[in-house]
Amino acid sequence: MSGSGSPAERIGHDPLCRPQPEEGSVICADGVTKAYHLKNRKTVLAIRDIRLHVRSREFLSIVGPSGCGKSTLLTLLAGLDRPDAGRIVVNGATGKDGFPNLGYISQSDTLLPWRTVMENVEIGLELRGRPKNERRETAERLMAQVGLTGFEKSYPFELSGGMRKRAAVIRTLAYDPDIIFMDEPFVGLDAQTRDALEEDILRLWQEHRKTIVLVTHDLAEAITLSDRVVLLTARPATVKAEYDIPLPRPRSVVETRFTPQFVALQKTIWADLGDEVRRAVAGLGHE
Amino acid sequence: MNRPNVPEAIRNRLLVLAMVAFGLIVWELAADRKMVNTFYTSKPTVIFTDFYQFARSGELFTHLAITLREAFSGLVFGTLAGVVCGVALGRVVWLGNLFEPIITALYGIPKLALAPIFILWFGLGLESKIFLSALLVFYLVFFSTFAGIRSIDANLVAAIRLMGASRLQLITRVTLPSCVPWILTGVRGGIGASLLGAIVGEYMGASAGLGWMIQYATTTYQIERVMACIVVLLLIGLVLNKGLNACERRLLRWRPGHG
Repeated sequence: MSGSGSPAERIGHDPLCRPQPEEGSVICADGVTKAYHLKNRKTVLAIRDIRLHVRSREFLSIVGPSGCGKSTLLTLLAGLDRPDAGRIVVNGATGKDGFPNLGYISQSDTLLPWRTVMENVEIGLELRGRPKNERRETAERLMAQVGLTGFEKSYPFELSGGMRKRAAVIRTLAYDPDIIFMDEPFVGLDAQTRDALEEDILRLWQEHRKTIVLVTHDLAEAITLSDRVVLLTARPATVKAEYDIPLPRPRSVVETRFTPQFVALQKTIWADLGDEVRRAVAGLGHE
Repeated sequence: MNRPNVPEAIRNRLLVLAMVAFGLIVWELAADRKMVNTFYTSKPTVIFTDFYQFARSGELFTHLAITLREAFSGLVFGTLAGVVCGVALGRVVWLGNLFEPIITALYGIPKLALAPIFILWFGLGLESKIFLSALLVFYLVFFSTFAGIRSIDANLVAAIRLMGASRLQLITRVTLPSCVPWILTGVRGGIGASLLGAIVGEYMGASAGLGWMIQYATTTYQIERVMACIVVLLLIGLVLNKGLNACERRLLRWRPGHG
């Protein structure tokens, strides 16, 4: 485990953010800064001078105190918004018109309510003009992998929250994006459903080996799923530390949590995260 | 949805029919005893006889066909224009900023009052009625489509765009389907409005159609004919609304409560 230390010396300053600054790196953020303008003309600095690399086929989690700007960072990495300063290179593209072939799973439910589950899973391939039988085949295979077989013709409103989330995850996998961003995807689900979904994610990752960037405030979730965890500070967020998660794969959600290695990792990261949470709470008091 | 079971549904239907029959009998008896003046109201048996002759001579269907053609054309053109303008003005911000206030301002004009001008512009034929009818429908469909576009879940649009959808794909896959309930609301009002436009247009100047018939029969004091025409209009309204209900059930089965 690599522990804390100043971000600059750990990652290495990379002013040009070259397309391949590090072997196998698919996302590179350099000096990324973003502020928000509130209605009362105040400006809030959400994230400041973030430097971050994501390696190919890596499962990276971004954790930090609530409201610190994690989701903001993710929208910037995914090209949904532009940074005020700094640059982001994804797969060698600077993302003036967004980045190609990405997947994004958000907190909110974005299944199209007028389409059946099957049609929802197919949509990415449909947008790419793939033939119907190929779409059907892919969708059926993925639905079977997460236990949604039998719900092909159901509409999203007929599914439980957990099932809708599963459908959203495989909908993203279906069109085979290079990178998948997940913004607190399991928020609002009960603990058992979360465990089951995390289990699904572990299995799907093992099988599909995508580059995944997950934003979460749940430290245990981050450790369970990731190869590496990036800890952000309280707002304005910047990278406080990075931790490698050398837990053996394939992992099991529940068993992993009881290993001494997991507990040790959680203790270390929690010590750093706890400081930031306290700072974030104190910061709220000043607003 | 909590549907009443079948026997109960039939019982309700029978109750409604019994109520209507009761009303007709009261009307008939009141007319026979001179409690109401048949010069103004006629009475059910006379109306029915007239309706029968009207239908048998084929005259009814000639006039009905004309009015329906006007109303349907108005409904179709008005709906198409309303959806296209609603989507365009809702999606393209500068178009919306430019035209929405103008369209809203023009909405303030009582459109039926413009019927004589449309007769002047488009003549005594079908075109003037279709135009009036389409105009009424347009406003209903436009406003509800526009509202629908403005209320689209931005998250859905962002999610599908991120999956690689083009602008056109976003419109066909997200914008239009999510507006369907709103468009249907506009069309529901539009059915009545399209008939209204056709009938009022015919009052103003025509040589055929149910509206013309009502106008003509009133001026010649054939109250039973006026009433027969009103019965026809009532039946049209019933049939069209049933049809729309069936459409809604099919198009909106993805919504809770429409299964």
